[in-house]
Amino acid sequence: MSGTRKKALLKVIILGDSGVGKTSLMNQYVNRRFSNQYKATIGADFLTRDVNIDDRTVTLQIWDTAGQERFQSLGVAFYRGADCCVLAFDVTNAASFKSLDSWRDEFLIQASPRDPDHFPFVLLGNKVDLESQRAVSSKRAQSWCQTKGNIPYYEVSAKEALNVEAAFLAIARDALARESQETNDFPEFPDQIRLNPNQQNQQNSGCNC
Amino acid sequence: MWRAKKPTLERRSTDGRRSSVVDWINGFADNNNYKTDSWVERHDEGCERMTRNGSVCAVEESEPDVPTQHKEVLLTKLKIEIKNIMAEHGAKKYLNLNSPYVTSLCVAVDACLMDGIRRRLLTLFNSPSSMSLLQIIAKSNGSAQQVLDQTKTIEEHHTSVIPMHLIWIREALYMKSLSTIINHFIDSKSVRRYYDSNALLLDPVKGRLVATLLLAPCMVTYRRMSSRLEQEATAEELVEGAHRVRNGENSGSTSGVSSRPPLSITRQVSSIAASVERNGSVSRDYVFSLHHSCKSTLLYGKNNVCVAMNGSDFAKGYMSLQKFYDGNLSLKWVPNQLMHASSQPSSGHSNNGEFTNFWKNTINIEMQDIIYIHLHQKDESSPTCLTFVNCEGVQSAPFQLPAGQHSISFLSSLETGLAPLLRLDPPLWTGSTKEKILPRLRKRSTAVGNPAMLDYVFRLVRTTGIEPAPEDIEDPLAPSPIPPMHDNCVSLPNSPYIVDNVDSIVNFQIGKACKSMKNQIMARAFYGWLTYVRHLRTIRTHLLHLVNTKTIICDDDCDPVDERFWRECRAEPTKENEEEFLKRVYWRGIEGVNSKEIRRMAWPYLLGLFEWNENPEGKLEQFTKQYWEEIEEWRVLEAEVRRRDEEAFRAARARKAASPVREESCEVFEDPNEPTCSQHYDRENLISLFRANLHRIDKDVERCDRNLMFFSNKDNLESLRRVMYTYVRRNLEEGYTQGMCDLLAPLLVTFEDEALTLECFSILMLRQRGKFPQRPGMSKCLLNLRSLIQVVDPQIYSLIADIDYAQALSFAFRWFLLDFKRELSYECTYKVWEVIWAAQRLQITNDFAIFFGLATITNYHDVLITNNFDYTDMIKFFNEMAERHDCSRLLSSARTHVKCLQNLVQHLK
Repeated sequence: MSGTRKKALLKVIILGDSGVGKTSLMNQYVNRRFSNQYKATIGADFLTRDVNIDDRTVTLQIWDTAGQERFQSLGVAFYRGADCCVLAFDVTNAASFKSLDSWRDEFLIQASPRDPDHFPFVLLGNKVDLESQRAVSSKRAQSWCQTKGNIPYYEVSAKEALNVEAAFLAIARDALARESQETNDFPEFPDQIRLNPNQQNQQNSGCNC
Repeated sequence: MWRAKKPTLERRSTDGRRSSVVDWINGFADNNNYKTDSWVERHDEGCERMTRNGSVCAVEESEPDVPTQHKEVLLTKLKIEIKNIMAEHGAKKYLNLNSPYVTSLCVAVDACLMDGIRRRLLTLFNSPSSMSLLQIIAKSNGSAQQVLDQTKTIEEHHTSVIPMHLIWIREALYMKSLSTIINHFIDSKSVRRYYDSNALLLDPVKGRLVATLLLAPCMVTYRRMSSRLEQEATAEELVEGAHRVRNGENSGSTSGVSSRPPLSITRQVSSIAASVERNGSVSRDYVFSLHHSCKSTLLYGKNNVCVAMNGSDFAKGYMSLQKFYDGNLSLKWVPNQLMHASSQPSSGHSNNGEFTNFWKNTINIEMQDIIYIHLHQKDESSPTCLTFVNCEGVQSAPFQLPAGQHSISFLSSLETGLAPLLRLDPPLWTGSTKEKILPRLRKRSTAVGNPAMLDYVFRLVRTTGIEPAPEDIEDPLAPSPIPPMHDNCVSLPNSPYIVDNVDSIVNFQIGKACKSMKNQIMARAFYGWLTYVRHLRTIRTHLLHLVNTKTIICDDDCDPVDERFWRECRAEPTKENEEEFLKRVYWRGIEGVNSKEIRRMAWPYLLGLFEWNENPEGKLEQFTKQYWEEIEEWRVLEAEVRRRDEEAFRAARARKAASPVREESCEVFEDPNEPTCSQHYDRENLISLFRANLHRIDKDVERCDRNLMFFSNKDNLESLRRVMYTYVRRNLEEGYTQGMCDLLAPLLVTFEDEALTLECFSILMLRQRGKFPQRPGMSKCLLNLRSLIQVVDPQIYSLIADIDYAQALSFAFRWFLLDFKRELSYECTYKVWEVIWAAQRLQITNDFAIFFGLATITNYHDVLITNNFDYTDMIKFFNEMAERHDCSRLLSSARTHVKCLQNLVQHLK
């Protein structure tokens, strides 16, 4: 009984270019407030929030890291042990959308989860309140998600608290579902390298959008 | 089993005793297996329901119907939640009202209350929830009204994790009235009519059970943990807590210790004892203290040992032999009546007198007073009689042990207990199968007409350190038996305490003790020395270069740099003055009527932009001229960048409008800029590089310390942007890295002169650049900090020793990257920066920041250690502590650390 009631801790990492609103998203979800005075994140920080999912209480530990690619090497220490990776981009900034691939690859390389094809990612397109300045259509984001193994996509606004709750709840569910499969995402020793021609084909056929 | 147990359980809980809650909830949960029995006795109620439901009558006796099963499920859930609450409470001594445990309990309670409710009726209220029930009884019930009021105030500023309709349950828990309120629900006719007849709450047994179960969580101490949502204590609370502990205020009523319920106490004693009334519990405690206490160990215990009480009257009781930690043995006997009294509820005060009578009969014999033990036994099959004679010749009442091996096992326990100081004489013999047997003595049966009688006399003698003399075994030393009621032992041998060789034994034992103490002292000294040597090695290998021993200045009586002193310096810019200036900055900082003005003039000298004896005017002019020229140069580039941004945006919009998915996908990774010739290529390269940097700078300038008055002014932000652009244009290869804005901002605020700011920033960046990503400086800083912690605070070091240093000290990354700019307020940042720069100029240390970091860590030693922080906790703690540090305290502590290391290094050299 006590085993199942053990409070689960789910580690969630938010990645994305600098200025897409990672800190704002985290704060909006955890503290339910928005400020335009957040400073650029240097180093790393995290906040926790408890959520009830299907009779279970889980603690989301949400990690916020620096967005500039130069700081990536620092964030790597925090990637390990992540249960879910949230990729964030700014819908008014096409460049931030373009870097998603490199963020995703970097995460998969550095965190090296056992089953990278099925590791839970979630894509958040932030700042949808600035519709007039939108540069990335939701269709475009969705098609990118499709090519990455049907990553769930949410259009959110940290400023107006739009969809943020729902998105993070889905993140928690995803991570929890993942956890309940009792797969060990991060083995002590990395798996042996399997040279599977099928897999390679799959990757090549994947569209680079 | 279920039926037998239930009445006691209910009585207990209505008594409000929370002590054994966990235990009996456990019992409840286990008893769920006996479901089928539980409704046999409320048969009549079942019948009533059967007639209404008609069809289920056959099922009732054999198997629970669906609603009953549902009720069981609800109750089980409730029990589990309560159990969790109590377990959590046991661990933490209090519960956070916002914790998930409380929320889960509220959910379970709500589910119980909502079972079988007629929702249609409830829709009269605006929200059909259990809250409506509260509103119904609030009119007639005071505590319900209080809860309702409280809930309403909470709802007004609703920020909690808990759903709205559950708040009242949580508040009722907090106000410890939830159980009462639910009892009112059950009693109140106005509430009952909202329920179907088969509702859980109307169930005559289970309904009350809900209320009764909730008594336990109502007893728990809840704390409302700040309006913020974290369940962990905030950094401030932690620091406060540590202070409180340090100041010894912890004994007060607010502390966790006093509010701890006696949960753990009952777990130690048997469960029989848990339910007794106050009166019984006192005597029970006494009985237990007789037999078990933390100061003694039980060597032997036997129940139903007969002792003659009044003349021929024999009473049975429990005999025990205990050894105290000081080596003393004592034999205790308590009549059965007293033992049992504790487990049976006393029927009143009438038998109190009887109890006091029994109390008089308890026996307590200190074995150190005893010199003889007499053992009498008629024959092998009859009970054994034990009599103890003390050194004054007084005999105890005879203890009658049942026949068999009991007397032997008692004696062997006694013999074990007496060792090593005392022993039995004659000693017990070891039989063929290694069990103890009575020594075979020459029997001297003085008792006439009873030749079969076995009589032994044991003497308690001091161990001499030599093997017992063998002849003792052959010779019985005293005539036996001694008639129990006659005191005719006139010539008793000397007490073992005055045996001749006592001194030698004492000396021997003291000698042994001294030797072991000596060994311990040596070991401690050795380990102390070893650690010291290890630390010295750490210093030698890692920290030797960190400080310079040549210039040790111990003069901290000097004054800070003020206007007068600064004017003196400028009037006579001598070497001595410069030395004095730096010294003052290091020890006392810059403080004046207008310290900002002094800083504006002094910093360029402190940073080494100007020579000490140099006049700044000429250079300043030159800086300004150059600065504006450079701006003119990059303005062209910037215009080009803006044009391209505009284009790109328009293209993106157009694409979004058209939105053909395929086309756009190709462009994401390819840059369409194709070079035509090398010169063009260079220019393209330059522009794209500059463009990328501009975008980064724009993002960071926009969010640089906007809470500061200075930067709420758009013009100042523009200044910041211009300086940053110019710096990056100058160092395009290096480019812009996040954090640079943070380093630039305090300079700009101080100088309010863009050209001068840029020059000073360039010098500052020479210092800081090494710590920026992709350079080795940061690792070096963190490693040095780690070594320093190892030497200065091994306790904190033990928290981080096992993890990779970069991860363990990741909280310090921002510290060193920005020299604590983010950790301190602007005013404090100035002070710390000055000291860092002065320390470098004085060649005390190039990395004063590391010592400041060390001071920051050791300053919170208590918080880190008492909460046993891991590295994530530290990240959170130090992030929350940003701009809350006591800067002057940390500075002086850092200077002390520097001095200590200087001394150590000098000693090493």
